[in-house]
Amino acid sequence: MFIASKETISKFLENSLVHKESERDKFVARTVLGYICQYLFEFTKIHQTMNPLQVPDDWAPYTGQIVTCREDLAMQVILPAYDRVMGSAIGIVPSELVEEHFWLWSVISEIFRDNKLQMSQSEEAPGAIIISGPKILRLK
Amino acid sequence: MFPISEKLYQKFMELKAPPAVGIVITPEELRAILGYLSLRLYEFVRVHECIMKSANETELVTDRDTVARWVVATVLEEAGLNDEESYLDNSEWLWQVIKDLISEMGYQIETSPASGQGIMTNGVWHSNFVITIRKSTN
Repeated sequence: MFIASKETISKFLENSLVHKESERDKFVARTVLGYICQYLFEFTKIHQTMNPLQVPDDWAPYTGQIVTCREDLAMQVILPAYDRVMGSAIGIVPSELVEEHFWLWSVISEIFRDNKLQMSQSEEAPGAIIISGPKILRLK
Repeated sequence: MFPISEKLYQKFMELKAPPAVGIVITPEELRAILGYLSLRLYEFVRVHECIMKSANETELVTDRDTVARWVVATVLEEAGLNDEESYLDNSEWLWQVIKDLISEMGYQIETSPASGQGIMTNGVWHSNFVITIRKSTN
C-alpha cells in the first residue's frame, strides 16, 4: 500500500479536479487521492512483475527501473481513480491530463517520493517517466 | 488480498437475499458477489487508511450511502448483476455480511441505526446509518 504524506494530501486537495465547495466534496477529493495511491501501487507492482518477463534475450538486462509514460499513468491510474469515486460522467479529458495539470504530475511524483521511490521525467522524450528506487527489485 | 473464512462463506450462502426479492441467483453468482464484495471492501478500507495514517486519524466515519455507491454498486457490476440493483439495495442481510467481513479483516465496526438526523464528523456530514471503522487493537 502506498501512503500519502500530509504535504501531498494538502497539495492534492488544493488543486483537485473535484469541486471543493463543501466538506463533503473535500471528503470525495480525499477518497480520489486514496484510490490514486492504491492504483499507483498496483501499477508499480504489476510493472515490477511484468518488466523482466517482457525483456527479450537480446535486449539490455533489466535495470531495476520501470519505464512508462504519462499516457499510461493517466489511463491506468488517474482516470480510473476519478471514475471509481465520481462515476463515468466526470468530464476529464485524457489529453488534458497528459498535457496540462502539471500540479497532478507533481503530486504523482510526491506519492512516489513518500513511498521511497523516485519518479523522473525525461527531457529528451517529453511524457516519458522512469520510476526507480530501492523497492524496485529485479525478480529472480 | 483478503481471505474469507469458511464460517463466513457458509453464513453468506445460508443468508442470501430474502425470497421476496424474487430474483434467482445461482450459487456461482453468490460466490462471485462475496468474492468481489470482500475485494472491494478491503480496497475501500485500505484506500482510506493510506490517507488516515498521515492525518493521524484512527477511524473512518462513513455511511451506508457511501459504501453502497463506492463498493456495492461496483460489486454488482463486476458480478454481472447490473440490472439487479434491488437485490442488494439496503438489504439488512447484506449489511450484516459487510459487518462480518470488516470484522474478519481485523477492523472494529460500529453501526448506528437510522436516526433521521445523521451526524457531522471531521467537518463531513454523514447521512443515516453511520458506519465507523477502526483498526482492531486485538
